[in-house]
Amino acid sequence: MKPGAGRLMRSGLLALRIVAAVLLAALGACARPPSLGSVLHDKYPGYQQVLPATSVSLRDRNYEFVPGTMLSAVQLKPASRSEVALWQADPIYCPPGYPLADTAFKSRPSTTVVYDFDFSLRRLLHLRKAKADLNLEENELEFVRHIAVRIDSPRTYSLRGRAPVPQYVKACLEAILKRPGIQKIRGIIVGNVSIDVLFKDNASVLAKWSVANKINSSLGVGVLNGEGYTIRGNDLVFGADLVRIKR
Amino acid sequence: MFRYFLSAAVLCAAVSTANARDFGLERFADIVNTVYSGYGVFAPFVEAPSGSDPLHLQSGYLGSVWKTTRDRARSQGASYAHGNIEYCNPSQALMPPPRNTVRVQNWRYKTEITLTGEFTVSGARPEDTIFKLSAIDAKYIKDVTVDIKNAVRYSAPYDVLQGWSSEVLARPFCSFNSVLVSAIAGDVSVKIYFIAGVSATLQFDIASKVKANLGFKVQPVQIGDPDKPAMLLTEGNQIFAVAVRPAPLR
Repeated sequence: MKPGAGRLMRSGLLALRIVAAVLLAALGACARPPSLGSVLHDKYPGYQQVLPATSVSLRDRNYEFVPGTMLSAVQLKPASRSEVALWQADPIYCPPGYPLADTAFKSRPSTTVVYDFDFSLRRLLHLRKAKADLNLEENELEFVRHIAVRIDSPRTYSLRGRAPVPQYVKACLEAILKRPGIQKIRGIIVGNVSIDVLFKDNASVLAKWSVANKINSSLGVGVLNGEGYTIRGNDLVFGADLVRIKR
Repeated sequence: MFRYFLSAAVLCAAVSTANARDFGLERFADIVNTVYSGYGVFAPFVEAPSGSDPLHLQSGYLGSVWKTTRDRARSQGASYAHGNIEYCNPSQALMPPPRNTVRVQNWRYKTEITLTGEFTVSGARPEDTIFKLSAIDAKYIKDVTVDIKNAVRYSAPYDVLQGWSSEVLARPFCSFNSVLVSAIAGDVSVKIYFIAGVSATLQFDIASKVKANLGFKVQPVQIGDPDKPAMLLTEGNQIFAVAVRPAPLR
């Protein structure tokens, strides 16, 4: 071996390590913090987020999220490259006359999406996505260490394959179809949903409360315990397959 | 002349009071709208109608017609003052089956008032309130938390709501401006945290005012310790959020 070759090899390895570290860091920084909208987009395509979230009801014929229901809905946020559209369902609807239990049921895989923050790196790379997605100010985001969105026991109910014949009340249909923005529900996705937020050690109680009060979602408002903030909802309808009905 | 000025002064005071802001309710209405999109706060809260109201006299029945005004929340949402509404219930008033919905867990409102009794909200006026408490009482409060368990949503098909409300609107003296189309009820707990050193009598007095202002029937219970004094109010099955649409429903 030539003199100096060992030093060259060591510096080459060091350079490789630096490149790998930068690549890993960049990859980590590019990952976006999960929101329910992004989880639906990535893991359960075809479903949009609908507010307010409601627990599932299998036997009630007047339940407003039975596939086949016509309902009035307002789009609060259009779909983006990373998130599905967000809708507000008005309590104005016509049910199809059969219960949810009569529609096609399918189990879906559970999912967990985790995001670990390294805000200094994000600041370095001028990435502002976390701030935008969580609706937090920069100083608030600095207190967040980790966010995890978990969906357990997800299942879908849809009209596909096994569609009962809808028996709408004629007066209801006539009245609702005069309104703008009527959508038909083709399917829903239901599951146990939880969002866990971990704060950094230097976060004051006031900062935690402030952040916790802002990271609220269709799941409700959660509970702040020590270093963490948790929002949970069981058997929630957290997404719906909507199609616009033309008047 | 003096009488004219007196009446004008009384009228101005009445208008001014009617427009007073409630900073606590404004924030609560924001959080209610975030969680239950499209719903406004209904305060004082009222027990969800049940079999214990055979004459259908109480408020909260779907399809009932209201004379009410919508107060704006701080940034989104709205609130409806139960004390100010006039309403007529449908003759065949029935509450549809409740369906579970998401809940509000330990939401916290940090009092926007200084120790000397000045509101820290810009544009605040002396007649403004915090959960209907005047600045004189509210200055002893550090913060208020609201926890809602067993939240349920009441809703009904549109033709049913139309039928109920149009029957009411056809009655004399009931042609009001709004229809109650959906309501959310739950077991509501309100914890009031006081600044250290506030006497037990004053705590009870302030908590009793909150109790009356938010529609609770139970007595406030003392919790916490001398360093962190607090009072707790809990009431089950209270309607705290409503969705209201212009009458008649079309």
